[in-house]
Parts: sequence; C-alpha cells; structure tokens
Amino acid sequence: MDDQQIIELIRTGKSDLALNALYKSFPMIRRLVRSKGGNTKDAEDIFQEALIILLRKAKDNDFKLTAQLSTYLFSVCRFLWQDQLKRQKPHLPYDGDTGLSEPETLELSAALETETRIKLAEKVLEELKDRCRELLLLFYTDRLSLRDIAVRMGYSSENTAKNQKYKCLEAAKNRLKELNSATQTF
Amino acid sequence: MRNELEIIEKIERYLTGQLSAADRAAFEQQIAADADLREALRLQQDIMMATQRTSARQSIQRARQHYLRARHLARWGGFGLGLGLVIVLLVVIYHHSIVNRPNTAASQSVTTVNGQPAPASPGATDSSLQQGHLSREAGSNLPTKIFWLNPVRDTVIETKGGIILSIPAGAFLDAHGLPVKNRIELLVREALDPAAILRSGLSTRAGDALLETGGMFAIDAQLNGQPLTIDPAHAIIADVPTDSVRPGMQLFSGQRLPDGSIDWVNPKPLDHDLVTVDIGSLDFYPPHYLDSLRRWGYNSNNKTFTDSLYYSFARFFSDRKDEMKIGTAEVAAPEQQAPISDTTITQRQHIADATKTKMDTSFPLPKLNSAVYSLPCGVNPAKIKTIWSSRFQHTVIATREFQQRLVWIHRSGENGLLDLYIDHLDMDLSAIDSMAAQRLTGSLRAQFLAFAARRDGKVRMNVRQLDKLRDYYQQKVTAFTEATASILDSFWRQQTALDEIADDKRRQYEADSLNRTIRNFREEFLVTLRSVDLQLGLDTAIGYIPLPTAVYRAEITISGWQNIDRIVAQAVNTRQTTGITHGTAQAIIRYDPVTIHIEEPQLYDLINVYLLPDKLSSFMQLKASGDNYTEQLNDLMTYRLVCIAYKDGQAYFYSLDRIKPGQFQIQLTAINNRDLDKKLNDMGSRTQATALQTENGYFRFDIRDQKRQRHNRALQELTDRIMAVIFPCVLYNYNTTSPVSRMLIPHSPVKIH
Repeated sequence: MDDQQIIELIRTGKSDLALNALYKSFPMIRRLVRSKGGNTKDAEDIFQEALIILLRKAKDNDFKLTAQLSTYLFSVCRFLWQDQLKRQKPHLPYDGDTGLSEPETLELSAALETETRIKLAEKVLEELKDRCRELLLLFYTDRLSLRDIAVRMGYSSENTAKNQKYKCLEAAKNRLKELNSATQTF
Repeated sequence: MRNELEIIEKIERYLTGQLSAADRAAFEQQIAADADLREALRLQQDIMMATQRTSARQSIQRARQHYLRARHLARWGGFGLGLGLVIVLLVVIYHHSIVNRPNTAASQSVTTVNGQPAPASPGATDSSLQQGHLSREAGSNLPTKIFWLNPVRDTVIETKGGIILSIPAGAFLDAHGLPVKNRIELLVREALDPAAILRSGLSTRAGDALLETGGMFAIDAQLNGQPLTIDPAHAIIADVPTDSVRPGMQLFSGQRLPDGSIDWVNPKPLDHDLVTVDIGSLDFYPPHYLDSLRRWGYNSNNKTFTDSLYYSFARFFSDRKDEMKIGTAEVAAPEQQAPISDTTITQRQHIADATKTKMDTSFPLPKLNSAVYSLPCGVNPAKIKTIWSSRFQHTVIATREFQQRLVWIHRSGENGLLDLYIDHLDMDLSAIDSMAAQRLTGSLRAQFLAFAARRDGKVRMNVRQLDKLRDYYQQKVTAFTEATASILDSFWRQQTALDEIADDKRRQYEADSLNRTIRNFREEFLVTLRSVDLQLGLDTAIGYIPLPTAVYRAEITISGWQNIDRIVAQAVNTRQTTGITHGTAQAIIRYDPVTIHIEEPQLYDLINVYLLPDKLSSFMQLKASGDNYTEQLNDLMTYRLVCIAYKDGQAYFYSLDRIKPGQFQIQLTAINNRDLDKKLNDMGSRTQATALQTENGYFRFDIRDQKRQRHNRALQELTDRIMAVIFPCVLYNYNTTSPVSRMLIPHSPVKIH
C-alpha cells in the first residue's frame, strides 16, 4: 500500500491497518538506533514515539508529506534518539547533522515537547481507577455514545454515565494539576 | 456543580470542534480573559490527548505483535519440503541469558562447513519417507528465518535471539569455488534457550562426553537451491550474547550421524574479538572529572571547555628547562616515554600542526604554580588527546573494554601503563592486562589481573596501520605537550606583564591625585587670600604659600601679616565661612554647601563626581558620604559639575555648567566612549579638560583590567581545585604534606587502597 493510502487509513480511523504497514520500517530504525549505541528495546521505544507523533500529525488535514513516509519516520527517529542521548549523556559531542531543515527541527522539537507533556497526563490516567479510565477511553477514543457506554459498563442510565464521566474527568484534571505544579518546582 | 458540568461540556464541544464559528470566537475571548478557564481547558485537553495516546500505544503494540508473528511464519514449513539445503551445524557452548542483552559478546569465526547434502528433493516419490527422515533430524523443527542478502556487500544480521552475524563481502563461494554475485538466501536457525534445545532434539554430546550447553545455531546459505560454501578468507563473525564469559569455552563443529543426531567434534578455542564503538561516544576523561565540574557549577556539557581545561594540564609534562622550581624533594620530572624516531622535519610539522590547534584562552588554563612545577605522577593529558580521536577509531582503543582500563590507568597515574596499551594495539587485551599487572603492586595489580582474567580479545589490525599509529602517537603526544606548555607559558607571561602595567598605572594615578589635591589647595588659597587682602585694603603681595595641613601637620605659629595668611589657609583647609577683622576693615570668606544626590547609585559599578572651579587649573573630586556627594563651594569661584559613572563598561554622564550651593538630584544618561571624550574636551579650561580625560582614561582602563584580573583569579582557583581530580594519584601516592595535597578538595575521589 502506498503512503497516501496509509494516511487515508489513519484519517478514517483505521489506524491498525496503517500501523501494520508502517511497522515494516522497523528494521531500518532498529539498525539506526543500534548503530548509535542503543539496543533493540530502545529502538522499539523510539519507533513507538515516532509513530505516535506521525499519527497525530497525519490526522491534521494540513499535514503534507514531502518525502516518503519511511524516510519521514527515519528522520523523526534519528531526531528523537539524538535528543534522548543528549539528555542521558550530555557530556558527549554530537554532530549536528540530523538531516532536517531548521523549521522541521523546530516543528519536531515542539511535537516532542507536546508529547512529553501528554505523557504526564497519561500517567494520571494510569493512576485512575480502572473503570474511570475505561470510561474515558471509551468516550474519547472509541467515540462511543453515552448510551452505548452506559450499556457497556452497566450503568443504570445515560445520565449516570454522563455524571460518572464528569467525575472521572474532574478527578483526572485535579490530579494533573497537582502533578503539573509539582514538576514545576525544580 | 451544574455550572462546572456546563463548563466541562463547553470545553469539550470546543475541543472537538462542535462550536459554531461565532460561539467559538466568543469562547476564545472568554479564555483569553480568564486564567482559571484557560487552565481548565488546558488540563482537559491534556487528558483528552492522553487517552488518544494510550489508544495509539495499544494499536502500536498490536502492530508490533503482528509484525513479529509475520517474521516467524510460513518459511520453516518450506524447509520440510526439501530445498536441497546443506545442513551445517556449528555449536557454541555458552552460559547465556537472553532476557537483557548484555554488553559483552564472544565472537567466533565461522570458517568450516561440514557439508552433507540432505537427501530431499521436491516431488520425489518417497518424499514422505524422506520427510519423515528429515523430521527425525535434530534441529529440523526449529523455526527458520530466511534472510536475503547481496553477497557483494558487507551485511550485518541480527537474529531474533540476538545473535549478530557480520558477513563480509564475498563471503560465499559457489560449487566452483568462485565468489557469488547474485542475491542469496541465508537460512538461520537458532536454539538458544534450554527448552528450544530440548524440543529440537539437538544433543549435547561430544563423543561420549556430555557438554555443558546453552545454545546452538545453524547457518545455511544457498543460491537457487544450490548450496554455497563460506570462503575462509572472508569469515563470518558470529557474536552470541552472553552474560558472563566462562573460561574454557570452545567452538565445536557439528557432524551429523546416520541416525540424524549430531555429534560435536573438533573443539577449537574461541576468539574474543572485541566490539569497537564510536570513539566519540566513549569517555576518556579522568574519573569524576565531569562530575566535579558539574558540582562546582561549570558547564560540563561544553566539550570545547572540558577538553581545553583538561588538555591544558599537559603543560606539566613538558621538559622545558627554563622554569624549574620543584616543590617536594621526592619529585622527579616525568620521563618522556618514547624517543622521537622520525625526522626533525616531521617533528616540526607536528608541532606546527599542534600550535595551529586553537587553544581557546578565554577558557581556564592552569597557571604555573611555582610551588609545583612538575608532578610526581599522572597521565599526560596530551596522550589522552592523541588517542581520543578519529585516528584511533576501529582500534582496541575504541572499545568499552579499553575505557574500563583507562579509568584505572588514570587512577594509577602511570603513563607507562597507557603507553603499554598503545604499543600493543594488535595484542589481546588480556595479554596486555597481564603485562600491566606485572608492573604494578597491591590493589592496582589485583585490578589488572582481574581484567586479564576476563580474557578479552583484540581488534584486528594490519601491521602497517599499527606502525603508523604508533609513530603518530609518539609524535603527536610530544607535539601537543610542548605546544600546550608554550602557549600557556606565553599566556601567563603576558598576564604578568599586564599585571605590572596595571600596578604602574595605579601608582601613577595615586601620585597624580595627591599632587592635584596639593595644587588645588595652593591655588584656592592664593585666590582667596587675594580677595581677603583686597577687602582689607592690604598689599596683595604674597609672603609664602602654605601647604594644606592634610599634608603637613606642623602648626603654623607665625604672626603678623602671616596671621591673615594662616586664617585664610585654615579657612580654605576647612572650607568654612570665616570672617577676618583687621583694624577697622573686615573681610569675609564664604563657603556654602552643595549636596548632590545621584539617582539609583546601586545600578552603577563606579561613580565619580567632579567639580571644576573656574579659577583652578584642575578639578576637585567629591567624596561620597552615603548616597550623597557634598562639598563646600567658595563663593569667589564658579563651579561646573561633571559626573561620570560606569556599569559593565558602559559609561554614564551628567554635567551642569554652573552649579550653585543647594541640593540637587542628578540622573545620569548613557553615553558612548567617543561622545564622552568629546564632552570632556569641552569641560572647563584646557588643563582641566586634559586632567579629566586622563582621569577618565585611567578608570576605563581599570574597569577592563579588573575584569581581566577577576578572570585570572577564577582560572587559578579552578585549576587548583581540578588538579586534585585529574591527577588522583598525587593524593594517594605521596607524602600528605606536599603542596599539591594541600589542594585537597573536601570530597575526594575514590580511594584506591
């Protein structure tokens, strides 16, 4: 399948099929990471982050691919791995060549920052009670209606589901607020 | 509660794009105005995006499973149908653990092939029998991974179990013994965990003896169904992951027996070739060097800085004879390790190259501490600089194993140890470790014996390369050392000269100030005396001119006309309004105060306030008391006010043509140096203007020079502190009363003993 088809699949919510095709690029990424001091697990983590970034960008209708998707993934992974190495081993010299132009680098830095912030929110989600998390996931990512959610999760009515959702959301927001202020005091 | 629900709903509709354009605009205005709402929006958005991220991760994990399964599928089924494979089994016997891939790997060269064609061919009538025969064969039910590779290029393959196969170009030969050019299939099977080994029916017998086994693997190569052999001159290197390398490990070849099982024969000792890494990724600094810098607040990420600082200590290893003050009696200059074997022309070239190396003198450089000129021990940083470069890429220096040795070489402070490793680049590391241990005693010896016991191998090099590197090393080290010493010597000589210039200037300034004070007094005295004489109707001839009593402490006890002189002198000295009666005449000397307050004085590094009296040849400098500058103005003269201040080299200025007694608030304005000079040119009389400019010139110089001196002091401090870290051997090997050890930092590096 070609790149355009993959992007279509992502945009129409059929990410699973798209990801299956995208995963074919993994061996190349693994070679890249391993050649720069990482192991296979590192490569898998970097690849996952790159895919997450790609999924987000692809959903944006303004996203335009100027090269092949595999090349794009490669550039993103190279950027991410170099960033991680810089944080882990800051005293070593790095060649500045990431193969990216200045605006592209800025864009990726911004995307990375966003993801880091969202990772914190994800931690909050993990801390929630299972049913809470389940509820939020069903609502926001599976996009089930409140009625269907009520049925699925065994709530007595649609309203109950709605109230539960708000409670869970509030709990999550409060916890995230706590974490945010905690991480700001270095 | 309701209101909050509504807010949450609205935020949700906004984030999912469900608001109309008008509503969205209105909402965005609300957001702009309300910080709490902004925060709620941000939090909610983050949570929403987090759920998307979680879902994305789950999808990615599913894709990963799908990918791994696809890699496994299908192929080994084809194996049973008979592809005319040559079954080659080579066994490596190791303890291993697959859970975490460890750093060490033991490599074996695969050079032998025991070919026994499998009696299978597609479509043969008794294929079922043959299949049955095959399936009884040990190892036959292991999943096979097929790699397609282009044998004309170098290839590196990693198997699922973590075995890395490094396949050089031209590794495979066809039936005629010629290198294969077309794409070939490489079939790899592995049984690295005990369960797989058992299932596969692979034996662990070598003849009658039982072998301790952890893993086995098989490599087959074929082109269009035809088996290929491996060219011994282009051996495949297989790296099998292992936690611990056990002594006594050997490489066994597998020979298939008629009943289908495998006997392990021909044990050969293993190569422990080392894996090289990018030399730029290693850390060759002395232990705790970067940590210490970081702890003391320096930027340890800046490699130019950390290199420059560390390499500058090479100066202690120069054998320049010109400054030879040695601190402790037992100190001896470190020996030059190797004679310079090349021609003098090349040597000069190396030194020329080395001096072209830019040594950034804005970064700290150690000063010649006259108490310790040469060190009793320590590894010459020039040697580290030489080897930590691309020239030594792909040598045993560029390995983690060597980095580990280097940490201990730093601790030992023995240059000879380092040279040992450089001199024997093609030797097994364990052999060099043993040689090193021979030279050492105590815990250092034990450490290097422990290194040797690891039996680490070598990195293969050719002889010519080896010789060239050895020569390069010797010459570059000398060149760097001398260049460093020479650059630093000249830098500090220059600084000393500058220090002396600064001292001279300061002395000159102080002398000038004193002279000016005396001259001002005399001139003012004369002016005032003339006025008094006129007021009293006296002859204005001057008797003698006293000096201000600030300089001369003697009491003036002369009477008569000189009485008036004395009173006038006193009046001028104390700058007090004084009345004089002489007979019936009266004279008065008036002094009135002026107070000047500079706005926000704390903003400036230096403030100078001057008065330029029209009847004096120079200026008066006002002293500050608290935030104010006060002075008594003699009403016989008109005064011009000039204020000059500096902050970080930026000048500030204020002037007033005529200042009268009273209180004034002054605000200074920034001015550039050229404009300031022009203004000073117009201040007062010629001599006053010149005097002011000289004064200003001195302050400008002083500000710059203070900066230079502060900088040098900081360098000196850093040098003294870091010395103990870079050369830890000095602390522990020598008399603790030596000057060097008095530079101990409170937290010492790891003790060796």
